[in-house]
This record gives sequence, structure tokens and C-alpha cells, in this order.
Amino acid sequence: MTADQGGWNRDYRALRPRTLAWQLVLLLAIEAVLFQRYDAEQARFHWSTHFLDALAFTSLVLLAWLSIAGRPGPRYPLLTLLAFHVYAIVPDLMFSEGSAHSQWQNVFLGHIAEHYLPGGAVAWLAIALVLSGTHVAALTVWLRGRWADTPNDLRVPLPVGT
Amino acid sequence: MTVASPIDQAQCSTGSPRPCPPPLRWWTPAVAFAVSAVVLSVLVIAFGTNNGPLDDPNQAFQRDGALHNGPQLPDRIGGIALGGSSVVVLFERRQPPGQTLAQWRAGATRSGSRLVVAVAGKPGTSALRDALGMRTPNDGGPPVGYAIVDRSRRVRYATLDPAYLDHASEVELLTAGLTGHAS
Repeated sequence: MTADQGGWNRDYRALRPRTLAWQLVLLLAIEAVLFQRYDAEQARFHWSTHFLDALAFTSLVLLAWLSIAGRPGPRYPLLTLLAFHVYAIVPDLMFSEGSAHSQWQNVFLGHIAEHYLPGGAVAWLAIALVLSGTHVAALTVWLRGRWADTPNDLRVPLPVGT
Repeated sequence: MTVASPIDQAQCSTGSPRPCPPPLRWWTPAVAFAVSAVVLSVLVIAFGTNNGPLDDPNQAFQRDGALHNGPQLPDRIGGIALGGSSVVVLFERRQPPGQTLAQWRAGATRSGSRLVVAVAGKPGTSALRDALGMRTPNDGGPPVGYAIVDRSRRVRYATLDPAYLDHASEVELLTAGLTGHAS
């Protein structure tokens, strides 16, 4: 995982705290609305399963990006999670518009089949945590490498105002 | 007074010839992951399912929203004639109040289906339950939910649904979906 000296900032685009913060706020706000909608339909199980499925898939994408590109990405990781979750629930949106579920809807991250995983939402929780934990472990290794490459004079605490 | 900042903006602008430190401490993702994992686990385990006494022990089989090709039934079960039109069989533990049932019936039979109410303990209910493959809820008692049989007497849907009164539109959607599917 090396980078040309002019590409350091580009390598950190996906990790900027302010960008991550507004993504997190947006993600939590929209997920809260989705959870409320599923709860109103007595269908929390479906929210859980599809969100965890999206989290697992997103973790795989982030891990692949880090491994192949040699830097964290894509630029908006939490929006990527939100996008995959919305993609995964497209059949539910179609259902609310009057279209019954069908097997072809497995193209939406396995929308139908994923419910039948033994262990249900708890099994999906375990899978999602293992995959996201693996990505975090790889990201931690990458960050430690970058901190090790940072010159000592750039690591010291900075005076207020600089 | 000093603060520990991971980035020196003055020295690490775009195109800097020197390696800049990451915008996050190396341990930040691990801490964020640990906190998120705890919150998500609590959310999913404590609130992520509807698992009341009348719900299906395996939530995958409850209101999956898809029509299936179940077994084909004989033309009469428990004194109920099947075939010719689709039939919605509502399973309940006690007779629903008339007005409540009338409202549900209006939505559930909008596509021309017949409604049969099978109350636990009444003659024919056990036979219907077994033939339609109704599952046993968490409390081990009789099912509360409904099944849909198409006009060729094939079981297309069977689900527990203790809140079925709120879901008449789902039944209407599924029975409407039988058009073109029933042989």
C-alpha cells in the first residue's frame, strides 16, 4: 500500500471526519425513518435482515476497494451503505405499490432468499459484524502504516490557531 | 495551550511533497466499530424482530409477501367447498367482532375472493389448518392468520399474522396477484 507523495490527500478522502459526520447524520436519520415505517407494518424483521445484508455487502465492497486500490474508498462509505440498503428494499417499495414479491427479486441483494438463512436476523448480524470487523482490521493496519510513514515533526501536537 | 490535531493543514495541502498523517488516529475505526457493534446488536436482538406469542417462531415464514405453488387440495375440506373462485381462509382463536370483520372482509375480498372464517375449536377448523399447512405460533396454540387458495384449489399463501386486521390491503394485493397465475 504505497502512494505517491502528491496523492496523500486523495488517499484520505474517505476518512475525513467532517465528511463522515454528515454522512452518519444522514444515514441515522433515514434509517430511523425506515425503521419506523417497517415497525408500523409489524415487519421489523425485514428491516433488520435487509440492513444487515446491506452492511455485509458494503463491508465486502470496502474491503475489496482497500485491497485493490490500496487506499480506503469509495469516497462516501456511509452513503454507500445507505444506497445498498435502499437497493435491497426496492421489492418492499414495489410491494407497497401493489406488486407481490417474486423469486426474481433476489437480484436485490437476495431480497427473498436471505430471509431463510438459518438463525435469521441474528445470523445476519454475525455475518455483518464479521465482515465489517474484517474491513476495520484491514483499515487499521493501513492507518498504522500511514502513521508509521508520517515524519515525526508532523505528528507533534499543534498550537491552537495554526 | 495545545491540541493534538492529526493534520497540519499548512504543511499537508494537496500536492504536498511530504507524507501527511491520516485524518484519523489508527485506533479510531476500531473504537467506532466496537461502539456500533454493541448498538446494532442491541437494536437487532432486542427490537429487530416481532416475536410475540402469536408470531411465527421462524419469522421468514411470516408475511413473506410471495405467492407459492403449494399442494393442491381436494374439492371439499371440513365442510368447506374449494375451487371455482379463490378463497381466503382466516384462522382465529375466537370469532372476530362483526363490524371489525366486515371491514377486513371488504378489503380482503375486493378481488372477488370468498372469505371463510375458521375459528379454533369449531368443526372443520383442524382439518383446514392441517390441509393448508398453517404453522404453529410461539405459544403453541392455534394459528391466527390466513391462507389463500386459488380457484384451482392450490394453496398459494399461508401465514401467521396476529395483526391481520391491519393488513387487509396485503390480502387484497395477493388475491389480485392470483389473476393469471391460477390454472
